[in-house]
Amino acid sequence: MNLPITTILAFLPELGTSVLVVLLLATLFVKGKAHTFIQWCVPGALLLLMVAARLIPSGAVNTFAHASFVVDQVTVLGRMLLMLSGAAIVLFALVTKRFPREFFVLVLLSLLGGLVAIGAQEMLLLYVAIELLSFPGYILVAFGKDKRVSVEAAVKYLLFGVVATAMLLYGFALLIGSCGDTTFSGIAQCVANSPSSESILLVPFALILLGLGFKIGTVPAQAWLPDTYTGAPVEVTGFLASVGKISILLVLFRLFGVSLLGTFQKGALLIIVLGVTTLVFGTTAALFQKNFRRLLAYSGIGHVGFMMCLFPLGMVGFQAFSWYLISYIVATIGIFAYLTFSSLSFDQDSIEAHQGRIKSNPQLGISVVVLLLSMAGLPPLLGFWGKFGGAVSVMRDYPVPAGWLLAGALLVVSVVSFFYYLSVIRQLISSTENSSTQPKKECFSVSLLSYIAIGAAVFLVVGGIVGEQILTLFGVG
Amino acid sequence: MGFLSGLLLFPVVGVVLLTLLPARFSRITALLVSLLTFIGTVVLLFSFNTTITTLQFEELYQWIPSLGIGFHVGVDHLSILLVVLSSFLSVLAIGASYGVEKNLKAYYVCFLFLLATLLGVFVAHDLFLFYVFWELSLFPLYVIIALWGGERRVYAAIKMFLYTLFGSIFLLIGIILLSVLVQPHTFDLPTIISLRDTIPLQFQLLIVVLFSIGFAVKLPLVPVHTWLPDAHVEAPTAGSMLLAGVLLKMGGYGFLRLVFGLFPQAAVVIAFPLFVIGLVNIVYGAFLALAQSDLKKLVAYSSISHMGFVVIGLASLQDIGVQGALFQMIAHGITSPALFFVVGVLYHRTHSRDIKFYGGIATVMPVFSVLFALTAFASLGLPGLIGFIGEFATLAGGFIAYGWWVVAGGAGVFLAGMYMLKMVQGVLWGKVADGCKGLKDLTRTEVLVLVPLVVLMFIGGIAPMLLFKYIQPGVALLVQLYL
Repeated sequence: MNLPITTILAFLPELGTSVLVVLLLATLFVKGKAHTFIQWCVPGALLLLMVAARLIPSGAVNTFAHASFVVDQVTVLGRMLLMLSGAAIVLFALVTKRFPREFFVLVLLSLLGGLVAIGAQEMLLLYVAIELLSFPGYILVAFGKDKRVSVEAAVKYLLFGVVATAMLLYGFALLIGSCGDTTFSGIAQCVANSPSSESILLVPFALILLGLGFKIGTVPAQAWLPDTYTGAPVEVTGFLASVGKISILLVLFRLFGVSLLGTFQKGALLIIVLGVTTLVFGTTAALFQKNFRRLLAYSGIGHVGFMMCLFPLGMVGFQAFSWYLISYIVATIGIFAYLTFSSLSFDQDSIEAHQGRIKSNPQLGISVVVLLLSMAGLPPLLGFWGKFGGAVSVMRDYPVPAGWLLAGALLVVSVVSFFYYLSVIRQLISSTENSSTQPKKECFSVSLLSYIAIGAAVFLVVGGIVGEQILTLFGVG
Repeated sequence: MGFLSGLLLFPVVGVVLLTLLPARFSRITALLVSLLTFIGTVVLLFSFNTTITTLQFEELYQWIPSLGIGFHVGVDHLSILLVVLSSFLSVLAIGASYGVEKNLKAYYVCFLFLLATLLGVFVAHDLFLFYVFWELSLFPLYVIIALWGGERRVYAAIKMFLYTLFGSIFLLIGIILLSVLVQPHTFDLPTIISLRDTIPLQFQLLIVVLFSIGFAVKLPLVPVHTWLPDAHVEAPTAGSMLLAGVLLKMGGYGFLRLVFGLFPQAAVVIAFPLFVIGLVNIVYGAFLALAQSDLKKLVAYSSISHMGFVVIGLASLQDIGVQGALFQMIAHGITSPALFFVVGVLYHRTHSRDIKFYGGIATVMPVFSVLFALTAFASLGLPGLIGFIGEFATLAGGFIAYGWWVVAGGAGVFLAGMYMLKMVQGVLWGKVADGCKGLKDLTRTEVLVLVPLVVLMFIGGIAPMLLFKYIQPGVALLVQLYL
């Protein structure tokens, strides 16, 4: 086979990640200190690959391998965000030194799965990529096996995950079977050409939605998520909340927002109903949480619900969706950097434990407040642009009364989220200081974590002020 | 960058400066920055051409072109005085913060930040920008109440935040809806005004109702007023001063510009209901004030009553009424911070807000008592002081428009006399109460805060034309829409 160099270059992020996986695998077998050097190189390499992902021209490999993989705006955005969060998670683990060498291999493998999934244009490739994404996850969650809740979390994640994968596979099989084609474009054509089978197609459609939805905690498959978030080691939770969500959200977007868009009205309705339910559920449940990570889990469910409502808009809503996704992921990375930082000196689970953070470490405290406010959507932070842009798109582009109602509902529910984010902020800015929050002596690598959180906050502020250029930065537009 | 955006940016620069300097310089830095901002706004006021009705000091930059959002600022007759008032009160509020001891840096950062957002609200001529500043002003106030407030500060702060947030979400929905309804989609206010006739009346009505909910919470109108007394009681004195002095005016200003100034056809429909609610505000607020024994609560409810005059003035849609409403906003922006400050002065000395605790202050603190009495008289609407003009003009406007309904508003004036005199009598006259013996009279700082306000009460009362000259042409233009 004759591969032009541009095609190879277009796969640079995936290839680069594979090389890193091989290198990290090799470190399992070397003695001495060599492995730390390679491990410390990984975040830097991932960030370089992120830059490379931005520079690769869109549409470069549309015809390669029967067009089963595409590089477009969605892929570029996904690649960049995945690289960014992958680098952050690897750094977290390097700083805390809680994990064996295998941890890094697993993270990178999963990252590779995500990278392939977001560009896949074909059911089989997508399925394999999703498996590659999820399998290391099952192991990663179980890393904190010394804690009881951790084991519970791992088992729950595994069992739910397997059932969800089965549903996903069943859905894929039904679609492929009824259409006789595995490519998205072929399936879209088949759905469009046989409108009589619409209600039959609802079954595979729902199965796929449920199977993928499980991994990001959409209702009704959300039950595992808070437990796993609290039970898993904090770095792994950060991994699930960033890498896992980016990949699956973009896969969902590609499936229902790009490939199958406009072919299937009932499917669009199903997504919106699921999205709103998820948003309402996540937001309501988050109101009652005392545990920081549980709160993040439920609020994350809410954010996912909001983003899902934008899928049926297709590329029209992509701008708003990207705003939302970028701000959410950056804020998540920042908050988990903070939580990892805190986990070094105290048990960071209960919200009260974070009392008076702003006093003991002002820069970090203010940054976390900014991160939370961005998630809540205070203008003009970047998080607000996602909600605002989303509401504008929904109002403009859905049919009139429904779109208006939906946009209104999205905004009103988003306001509720201020309530629980404020409850955390209240503790952070409280002037009575929790004695245990006094950080231990910080070496450089530990303060790196607080720099990540501060950097994320600065990004959200600056991003909120410049607004549109942030999208250009990620190749959207 | 023009003068106006420089003025907006200046307090933000001050915020950066504050974070860099050690805490012992915080107070003086904040004072200087706010004072310079105030001087800037005064320059703005004097170089403002009162004869032309277009936007002045206008600046327009693209922000998010794909959504039709721009950074569009400018001042006109409706906003110029409120801009000056915001910076003026910020100086006084920062001056009045001498009692704050903990977290000085953060405290003054909040105030300078608040100042920037308040200026932003009044100069924004892009709906999105307006909303951003509107929302952003909430957070510093939330922190001010939640950190430096009284005993139930956390509850009060959250209540304030969520109430206004729920109100402003309707505002946001309305703003987005409005941008969706005009072609091409834009958030630029002058463009929208020029396109308003293309929007069907029922949608205009919908937007007017959505906006009104947002502004009503801020103003606040009965029955969404309950956050205000809590916020005031728990807020530190300086926070109360700005809350009553400027933040409530944001609601009135919103009604003026984005309800009555934007959709005349739809606003006519809600004018009368709004007028009635305004009357309810006046009377209900006054009765509530009358029933209070807590000084701060009394002043807070009197604010609700006084903001009712603003509403009836606006809803009258008469020249004199709308002018009066704007004047009343300024007047209340001068009297109510003064009232909150005098109550704060007392509280600082005795740590009590109960009227029954006080008595005979006049003999112990003579200078204070004179200023206190003058402030109370200005607030209750004594002719010759600033409060009278606004109340008179709004009632006159209401009478021309709706007739004898305004008698209820007149009753409000009478009730104001009752509760204000009750306060003055209970605190100043009589035998010196046990807790009040040996209290020190005003310090120099306190005199410096209070005297400018009292002087303005006289100026506004004796020579209201000085203020009306800035208001009149803009209001004339607005009222023309309703002829």
